[in-house]
Amino acid sequence: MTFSKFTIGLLILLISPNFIFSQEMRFGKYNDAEFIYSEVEFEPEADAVVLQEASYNMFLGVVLESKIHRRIKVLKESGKEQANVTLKYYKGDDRIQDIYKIKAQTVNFVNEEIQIEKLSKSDFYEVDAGNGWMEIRFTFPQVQVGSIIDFTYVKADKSILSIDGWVFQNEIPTLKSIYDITFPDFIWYKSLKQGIKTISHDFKTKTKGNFRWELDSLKGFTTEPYMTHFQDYLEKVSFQLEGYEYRELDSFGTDLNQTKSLFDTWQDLTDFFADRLEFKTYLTPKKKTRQITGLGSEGKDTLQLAKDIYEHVSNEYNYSGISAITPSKDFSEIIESKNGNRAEINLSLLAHLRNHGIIAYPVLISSKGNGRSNLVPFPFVDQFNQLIVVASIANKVYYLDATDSSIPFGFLPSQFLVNQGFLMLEENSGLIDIQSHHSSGYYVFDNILIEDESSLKRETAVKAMGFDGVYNAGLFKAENSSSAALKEKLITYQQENLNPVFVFEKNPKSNYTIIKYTTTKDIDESQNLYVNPFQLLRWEPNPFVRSTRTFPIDFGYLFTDRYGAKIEIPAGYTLDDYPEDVSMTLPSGAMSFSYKVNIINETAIINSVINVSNQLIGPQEYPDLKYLIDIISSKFKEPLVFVKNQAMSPESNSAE
Amino acid sequence: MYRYLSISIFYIFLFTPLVLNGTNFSTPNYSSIKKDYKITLSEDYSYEIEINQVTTIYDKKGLSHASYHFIIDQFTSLDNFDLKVIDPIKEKTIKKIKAKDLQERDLITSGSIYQDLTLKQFNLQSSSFPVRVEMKLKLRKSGNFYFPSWRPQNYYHQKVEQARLEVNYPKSLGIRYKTQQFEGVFDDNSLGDKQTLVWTINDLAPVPEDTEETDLAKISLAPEKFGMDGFEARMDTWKNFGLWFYQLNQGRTKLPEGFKQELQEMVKDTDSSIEKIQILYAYLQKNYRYVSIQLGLGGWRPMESEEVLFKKYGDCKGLTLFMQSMLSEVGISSDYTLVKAGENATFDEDFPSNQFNHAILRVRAGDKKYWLECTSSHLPAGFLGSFTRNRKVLVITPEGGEVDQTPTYSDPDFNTTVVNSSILLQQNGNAEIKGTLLQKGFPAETTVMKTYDKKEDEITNLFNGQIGGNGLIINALSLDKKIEWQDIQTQINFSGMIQRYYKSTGKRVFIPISWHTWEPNLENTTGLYIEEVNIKKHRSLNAESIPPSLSITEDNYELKMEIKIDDENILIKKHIQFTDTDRLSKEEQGDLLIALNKKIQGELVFTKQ
Repeated sequence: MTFSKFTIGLLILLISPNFIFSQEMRFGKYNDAEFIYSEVEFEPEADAVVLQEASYNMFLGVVLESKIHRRIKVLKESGKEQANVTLKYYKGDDRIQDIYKIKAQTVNFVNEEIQIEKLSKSDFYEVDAGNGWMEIRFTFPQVQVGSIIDFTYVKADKSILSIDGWVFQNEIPTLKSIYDITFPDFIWYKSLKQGIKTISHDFKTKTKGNFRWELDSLKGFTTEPYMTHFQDYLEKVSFQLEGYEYRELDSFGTDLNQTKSLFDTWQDLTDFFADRLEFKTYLTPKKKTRQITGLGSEGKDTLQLAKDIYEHVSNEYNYSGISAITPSKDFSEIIESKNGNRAEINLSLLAHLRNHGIIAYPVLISSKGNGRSNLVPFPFVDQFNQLIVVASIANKVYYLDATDSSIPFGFLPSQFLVNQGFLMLEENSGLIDIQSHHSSGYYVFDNILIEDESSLKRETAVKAMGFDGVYNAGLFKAENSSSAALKEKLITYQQENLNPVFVFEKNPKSNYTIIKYTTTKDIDESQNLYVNPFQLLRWEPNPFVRSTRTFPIDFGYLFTDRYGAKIEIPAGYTLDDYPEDVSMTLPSGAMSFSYKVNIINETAIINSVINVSNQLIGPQEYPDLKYLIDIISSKFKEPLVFVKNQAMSPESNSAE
Repeated sequence: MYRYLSISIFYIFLFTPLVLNGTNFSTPNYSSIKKDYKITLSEDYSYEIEINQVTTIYDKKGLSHASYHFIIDQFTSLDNFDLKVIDPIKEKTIKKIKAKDLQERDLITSGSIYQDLTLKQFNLQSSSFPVRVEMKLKLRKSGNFYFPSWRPQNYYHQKVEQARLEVNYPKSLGIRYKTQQFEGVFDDNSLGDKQTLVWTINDLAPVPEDTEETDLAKISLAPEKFGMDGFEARMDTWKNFGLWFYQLNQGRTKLPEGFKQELQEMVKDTDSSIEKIQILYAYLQKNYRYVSIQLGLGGWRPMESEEVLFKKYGDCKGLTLFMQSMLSEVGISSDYTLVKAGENATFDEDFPSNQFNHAILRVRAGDKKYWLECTSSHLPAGFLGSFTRNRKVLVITPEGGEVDQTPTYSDPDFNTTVVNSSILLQQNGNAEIKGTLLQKGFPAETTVMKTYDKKEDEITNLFNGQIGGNGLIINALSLDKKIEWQDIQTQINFSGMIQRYYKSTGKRVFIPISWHTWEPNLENTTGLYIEEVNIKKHRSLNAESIPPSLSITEDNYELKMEIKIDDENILIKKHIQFTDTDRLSKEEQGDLLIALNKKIQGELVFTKQ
């Protein structure tokens, strides 16, 4: 390592950082404002900041070369974490990507002197991260609060059908992020942009084929509860090859300039996949693969047959854990090994369904967290990361993923509950809306009565439907009868739980589970009775404790919870008091809540409904949502008060 | 924050910890195994591990039982790997795997920049069962600092048909062993200068996942004499083992003259050893950061202090040795110390062997000793925090290893939480709140760690999670920290609103005795929780039902709760003293909290006039 010192002149304290940072940086060249800079205006408590980062991209033949430069300033102790850097790239078997010409240095400004500490070749560690992925890891020395860490490298990429592009945001705030790309004449791309700043930026330049994004003041990103993933909301741009020019000679030897377009239509995209040999083997399986399931179809209705096939594939085929939208092995290999990636498993399902005459097609989706909050309406392949199957049976549509045997027919994993997908047909392929027709939610009914004048008995039935049944399947089962988690979910905190016996009834056809249980509690006849009608089955504890929200709240699916309780007014008591009725709806109508008490003869009937009718609720409505959930939580804790008809003791209490 | 260290990166296998000689035949059996495991130690300290293993998988859930992982490092080579996947019904070989076919990738543990470790693995894929996997393996280790533990079963839900461990070694080098729950046959033979130990066990029933580690059969091995990368020593006593570490660290504490002068300058205004320690510890915390790069012997050998000084980073070994060097320069003697950090740390004092994963520093000043955690950027000097407190450690002295004990911090001052709040009821069910949360010792350590350099809104969110959760909206918050010699305290001052603080029906108001969530630290010998809530109420509310005051003494806590009401005020006081809760299991701690929470739940019921 070398140690260099430079003296800089008088600090120009009055120069505006904005002015200074509007200049493009060069590795090794630093300006006064960078040394003075100590606080991010739009995130004053940030512990580090990307002063500037840039990616300049040029094609060398058919290899894309990206010169990447990132300069970070450490503002607080915890910001020193930024000095540990990992650069990832995909090497594959054929050096598809590579990283070279790495330069890195720590820059400190001490006693009006610039001190530079360069990293040497031995400070960079190359790591084989498996499956073709590589990492370059390094750490900066001499890092202090106020240090600038500066590094640059070149990344070469032979895989130019899709270009990863650039994410303009980082975990820490970014003052300026530049992405500059120049396309040669013979090749042209479509761009896919996400984020308001990226979309609204004027990226065209005066130079032919050159496009440039230069975004300023980008916030750091953090995760929040009930959000899909921050990657779905990042400012970013990526590209897909749209077409290219090539030359060929005609029969007279004349040099012809030809152009080839790629993915003009969604059908082009389907054909691109469907023409691949491995893919084809699933779409039109050969005869010898026809008897593979060994499932008899005689006498079964089509839906039952489809369910049997789904069960067979999800139980018998082992998912490798690798998400993919294309198979790398053909159908016969997968039948043999019964092991595969998601595309291979789901295309096997498709092949089985088709073999039995059931209409089924592949659907590509961008699962939550894949970095695409909304699909773009043109055939951009890189936006998809999962292949599922859609089947049409008796005019009903079912979306299927056979990689998890615990998820029943017609349901998808929670990360796959997206609004749109790309349906791959023989003709007229395109985007479709994915709608879930499941009725999800909890139905809860409590029958509460006094037994033998000394015991408060509560008979409860909980019906978990749709996704609430599916995603709680691991909890709502007989093996968990004595588990604390089950009791915590179902039994009110104040209830004195006398080891309830849980009875589980599962309806595989309708995919709901009913749990029945009875609890009792001794009461003191001389005291008033305070009875909570039921236990709130979600948002306990309330996940929305943050006072502000940046990203939308994603409930995953729509649901309606219905709670009902019947309480016989016990002999010798008077119902003196009970919760007031409530009916509230969010301004957007996305969520509503009602709570009502009716007294009919000697019985109190309590009904409550919670309805979520929009899966996504915008951050602007967060305060209202938080308030509404607080009210729900509080309302469910309000008791009915039964007063003993005889004289009361003011010191008595028997709150349940 | 402090970090783990990778002193003990020398594991050969990543086999899931496993199993035992239980006889619960109702435990499902996903596989059965026959294995022969042979260790042969040579005079030059190298040794060879030969494994001959046949696993039959009966169920999809047992697929991982035929997966193999090996970690290769500078001291380890894979000499042979031969595996066959066989259909046992047709007795047909389906697949053959050689060493070159193994999947391979580098292995970097979390928190490290780099380690020169390579993971080689085989994962079985099969859809038909049963399937049999026959594996032969030969590994060579160039030094015998560490021997892997041996267990008859590799996995839960695995039946052992036969398992055999054979250990051959020259008597001149020696090997020690320790058995746990082993009920098989042991045999030892001596021939000339060679010694052979053999353990064999047959027909072990599968065991379920919830089996305690201490109930599993295990044989641990450790050398008497060992050699590693040219360093030779004995491990038969802690003293000898410590000598080896002392030898490793020798000559690595040099500091440049210029820096020595800087150190003298830093402490020139004090003669107090404690003040000197504080000054240098603060200097270390401010200017040096934890970075882990483990190469070769670097898994055990610290970076040279000069390099730490130059790079301004180091791992726990490097930072600890660097601190030792600095203290030495100002005339304070200290000892590099090895420890097994983290929760549930065990230390087998009777079996000298490498049981450590972290380094700390013991400082001697006069007849007193103090402890320093050199990777922490927030702890006060002289306070170890929860990571390494209350456990046996190996102190490396010029005379060799010496077993010592880190402080228990049993004084309640190291585990105290005091909440004071004033609450003003509003008409709509909400309440204004103003209060303080004072924490001392370990609770404060957690708060400091979580709020370290955090933004104000993140501290607010943390606080909401810690004490709020039920409608608390903080309007103003400040965090005061006191981090001084052996003392860490935090105080959060807050004001805001609690939405839906009380419940209201047509005729009544219900005020909770406890409205916020709390998680006392039960990992300490003692603990104290004090809460005082003063609620301003309207005169028109009349008490209908007020829970009685409590004074309860249970095995592990004393609870006193008092509720006082006058025309305008409700005062709720809680005083909870915990004792010996650190001896309880996690489950018992959970049960204690549930029982305790039940006692301090409930409501004050008032009628409206």
